[in-house]
Amino acid sequence: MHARSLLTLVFSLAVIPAVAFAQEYLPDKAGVESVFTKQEYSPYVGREFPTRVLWGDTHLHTMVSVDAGTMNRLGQEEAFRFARGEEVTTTHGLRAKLSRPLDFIVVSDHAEMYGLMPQLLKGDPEILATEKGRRWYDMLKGGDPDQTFAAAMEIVASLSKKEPPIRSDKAVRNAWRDYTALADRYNEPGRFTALIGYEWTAIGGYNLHRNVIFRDDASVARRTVPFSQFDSQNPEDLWRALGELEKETGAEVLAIPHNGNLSNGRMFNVETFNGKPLTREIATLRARYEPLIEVTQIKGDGEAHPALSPNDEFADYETWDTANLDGTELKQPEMLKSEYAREALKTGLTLERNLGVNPYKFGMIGSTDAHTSLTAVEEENFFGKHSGVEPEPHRWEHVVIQAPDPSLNVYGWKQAASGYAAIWATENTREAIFDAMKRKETYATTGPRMTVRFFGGWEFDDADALSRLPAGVGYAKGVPMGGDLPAAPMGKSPNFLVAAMKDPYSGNLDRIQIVKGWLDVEGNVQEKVYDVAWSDDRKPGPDGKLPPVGNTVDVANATWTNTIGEPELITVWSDPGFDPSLKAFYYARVIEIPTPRWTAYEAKRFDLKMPAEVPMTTQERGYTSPIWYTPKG
Amino acid sequence: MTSRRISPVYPVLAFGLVLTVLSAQAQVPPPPDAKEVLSPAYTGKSYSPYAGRGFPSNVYWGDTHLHTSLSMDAGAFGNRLGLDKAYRFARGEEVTSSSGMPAKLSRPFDFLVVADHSDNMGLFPDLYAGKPNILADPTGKDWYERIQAGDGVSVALELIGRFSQGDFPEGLTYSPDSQAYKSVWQSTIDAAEKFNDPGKFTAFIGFEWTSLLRGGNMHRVVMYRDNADKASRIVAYTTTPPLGSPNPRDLWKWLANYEDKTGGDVLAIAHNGNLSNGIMFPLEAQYDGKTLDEEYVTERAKWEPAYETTQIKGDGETHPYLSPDDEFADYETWDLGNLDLSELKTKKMLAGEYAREALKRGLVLEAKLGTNPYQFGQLGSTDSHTSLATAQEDNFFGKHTGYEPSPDRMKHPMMQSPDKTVTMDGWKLAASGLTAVWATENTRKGLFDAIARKEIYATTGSRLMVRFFGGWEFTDQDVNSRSPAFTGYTKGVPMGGDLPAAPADAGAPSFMVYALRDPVGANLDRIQIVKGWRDKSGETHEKVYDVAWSGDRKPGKDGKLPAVGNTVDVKNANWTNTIGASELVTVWTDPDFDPAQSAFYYSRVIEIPTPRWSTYDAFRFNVPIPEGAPTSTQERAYTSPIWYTP
Repeated sequence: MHARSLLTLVFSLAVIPAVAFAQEYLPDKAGVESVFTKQEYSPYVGREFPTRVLWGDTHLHTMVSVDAGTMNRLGQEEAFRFARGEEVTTTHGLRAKLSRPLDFIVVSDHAEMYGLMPQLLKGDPEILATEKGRRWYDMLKGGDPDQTFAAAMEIVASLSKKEPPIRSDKAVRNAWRDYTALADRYNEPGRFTALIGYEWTAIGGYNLHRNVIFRDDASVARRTVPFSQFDSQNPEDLWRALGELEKETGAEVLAIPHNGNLSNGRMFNVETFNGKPLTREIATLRARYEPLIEVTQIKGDGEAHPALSPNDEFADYETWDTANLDGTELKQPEMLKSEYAREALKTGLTLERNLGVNPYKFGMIGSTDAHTSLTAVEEENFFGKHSGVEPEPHRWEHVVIQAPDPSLNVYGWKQAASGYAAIWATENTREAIFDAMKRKETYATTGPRMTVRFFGGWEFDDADALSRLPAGVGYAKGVPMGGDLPAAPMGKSPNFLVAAMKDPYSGNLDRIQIVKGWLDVEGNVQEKVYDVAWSDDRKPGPDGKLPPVGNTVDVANATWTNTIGEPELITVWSDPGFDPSLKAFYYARVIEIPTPRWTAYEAKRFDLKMPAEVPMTTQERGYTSPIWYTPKG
Repeated sequence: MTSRRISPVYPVLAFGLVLTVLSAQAQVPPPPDAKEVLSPAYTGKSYSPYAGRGFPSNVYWGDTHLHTSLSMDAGAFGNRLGLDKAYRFARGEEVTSSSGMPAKLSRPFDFLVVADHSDNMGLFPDLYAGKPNILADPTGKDWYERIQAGDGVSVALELIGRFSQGDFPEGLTYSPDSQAYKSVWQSTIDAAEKFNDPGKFTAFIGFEWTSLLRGGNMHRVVMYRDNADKASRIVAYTTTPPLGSPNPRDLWKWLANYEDKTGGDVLAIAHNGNLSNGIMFPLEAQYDGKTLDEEYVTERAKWEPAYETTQIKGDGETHPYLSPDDEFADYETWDLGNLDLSELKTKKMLAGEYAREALKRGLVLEAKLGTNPYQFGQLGSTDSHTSLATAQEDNFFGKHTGYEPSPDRMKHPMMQSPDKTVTMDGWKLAASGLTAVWATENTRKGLFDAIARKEIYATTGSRLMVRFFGGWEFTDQDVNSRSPAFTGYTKGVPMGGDLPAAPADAGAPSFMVYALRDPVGANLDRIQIVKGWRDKSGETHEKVYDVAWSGDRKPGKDGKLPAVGNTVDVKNANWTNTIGASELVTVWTDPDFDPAQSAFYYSRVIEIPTPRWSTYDAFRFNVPIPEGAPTSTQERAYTSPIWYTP
């Protein structure tokens, strides 16, 4: 039966071209028009493009992560439940809840000794049979706080070693199997997406970490185990391994590099891992597996650095630039250019010129990297980096990262209550979110859920900015964030439709900026930040800078009013300095009016006085994925 | 209604209390170091502002009044979309309307009450399909054959005409005791069960009891807190005697009987009274001349906690004749006559039709009979007959299928008096309203209980968020909070509540009101508080206070705030949010408070002008805006009141 129908099908196909004119029906103009040019009444029908932005976190640790497990008693199940909006009780016994549920989560526990901690704490006989396992169990369970802390430090330190202190493939496999099954259980298509993922944690002190994310469900993901730094510390090996995995299992995966700000010059450099000149092959691998980067998180913001962008008055935002991740190496000025997103995007243009491939053609997302199982980075609801700095009156002065040199210690107040990932996906499913990540239709925010649309094209005009539904014209006339401008028509400059709407719960908007980076005629990289839309009738000064929006924050009461700024901003902006022969990228940065920083809430709630160096206000922001322009030929 | 669920529990409770007292000594004594032992159990307020909120922190949006093809009139007028399509559309899916147009909401609803007319429910789809029980009747056969022959219009008119004249063929009447009716009722229950998705989308079981008294619209939507197990046990109540009745008192008896028989919970929502020609909110006697008595007022108060203040057939908050000092009173006013225009409106009727006046009458009746029958919360709904719950100006699919989007729908007469002297054209339809519910969870139970306690408000289509609390201790400082609900619930009562007795040293009551614009809608012009009260002589009064507004406007000499302005671009059916405020909040203290007078307070939140649906139609179809049609509209929200009783 089947074979026969197939044969018929093949036969018919072959015949069609020959007999096209013999068909009895030829479409007439009116008939075709009635199908293709009909204007629907409802403005919301037939929109195949993404219409609702989805909010989530691609980077969250639970007690399953070896480091988190030393202090955090909440497991993966609590992480899912908290993310989808339920109330949970923290390790310290506080009740915690998000203001609004997230749409998706990636619980991305460290790959290294995956699942070891829960099993160690349970006294798993196989773990206790190992020398380290016995030692740590005794230290952790002995009841001596100093011993407990010492064990925690030993365990964390062991993460960066070349060899795992306890090798238990079975334990890892079982924990991974449990996790992927749990993720499948919490994954509710259309309502809440639990993407499967883990964090490859290479070179602890230099933070070359990557979050590996699967498009697939447990049946595929459990055919492998997390690739760990004990397998290789070289990211190039990770990409190769991901390639093998895809080939062998049919899985689809991507990797998101951790914020590069603590990599001490290693995240976005121009050489291979082993210090050789970057090759086209490796650049291609990176571009393929790393479509996004994590531009902002609790351990600081990585969009731009004031030393790299001296003309950008918003560049110094939640900056962590004293040392590497574990404080063992002081930051040197020349490291910065290989750490920050904007500079990396510029570097990418140079590399593309040299290699023909741009390894740093990435979109942007924000995530928490919280180790508390709680994706809680709202300023008024911030549960900290790890369970040692969950809310309590002294956390602001506690050490978050202890360096061998105490002057390099990072203290609690430095933590940024940031960030979240915003995804323009067509539906809330693993597949749609993953696909949107691949095409970079994403943006980062430092916590608020502002809606940002950003389109580039050649045909936008001012009237398009009047639309109450900008996406319709945006997709029709241009490409969305993460895309490439089509070839330049003669004599035209590209223009951009950008629209932002405030988070209903957060501050009004101060301004929208467009950040442009390009490779100039001499082959040098350049950047410029344009203010393109702003609130409150302000006029740029003689230096071209827009005056600040003002500040309504009442620090003592940790509150503010939305009496300045705008709830929404929209404009069409045309690049005044466009040269069709030069490579360029453009992304939008949306800045809120000042609101209380988490430290202000902390000071009010615990009745604290903090020193003047502790910032009490913040201007939250969103960073869109760029749109690139590449000259023909 | 939930209040009465308590009664069966009383004996147990009383017994328990008695036991407790007697055996108090036998209980475990507190530990000597009680403080240390118990502190972990009482950690106080949590750090997370969102944890441990027993009060509702989400507002849920929906429609409590939607008809599908199962409603006889909807079916006859061409609606071919059944229950499935209605639910799919409400939960955000794209469907094709009966007139062949794809339709989709801008955002999904959180809940829906499909409230098909109970009389002859399901008859039309069966007639249309030529079901055997229909063809067995000679008229049924004739109608079916005529529909098949393309003469459906005359059948529809004949069918509606004979029903409203009480001349419906007996063999075709879907009497509640017929097998056909039972299976239709079961199908509405099955559909609600299928689409009810606790936590995501709530589908209520419900129906509309469609009492029409000499053309006066006395309809009630009945909605169930219950699931199929209870709702299936008794079929819906109709208005056709002998099994049904058009008298609301009989409906209330039926509701009581349903609850007694099944242990279930139901409530009724009165249809916008603007087409009742004065009989929706009687002051002395109901429509049949029967004097209002204690039974009437207590039963009505018990069964009708919420009222449909605004819908497609006009807005019923107040009328300019009743509220001459209120410059916003004349909003989508339908005051030509009753539902079928068989009787034209007289000014005397208006006081028995509009929500604000009813709330005032309630104070009078309470003084007279001991219970306020009109102590209702306010909600809005569409009453759409297209299976499409659309109330957004830019996406309005009309009252019924004949008024789905088309170039000439605005000029089609909607209603005409029998002598043809008075006509109402299509453009008069209002793209309104929506129900907002402050509930703790999106479930039948969570939403129903919130409606029962009146923690609800109406909007004319926008999804603006409104908080409204009344108390004796609110201060200006309270509005500085970004989480007004904490202070609101701690210091006062939310919308729908009663002010507690005034503390000894209390002055006047104060109200905290907070409004946030619809994120994809328009900015806010102002928040007003509407007060109604009954003075010593028993007369009622009302006053509208502007309490918070955008920009730096100053009230003029007459105390009125100047208009906010208008950015509507009529030609392109567009506007900008360059005027107005995205949020407004204030604490307002009643400057004219008299502790001896009973009173109510509700807030009205008004948006800046935006294009009315007719302006979108003119733009999209390139047709002129009909004469008389406003080019812009100021959408609004009406909260449930808070009452003060001396």
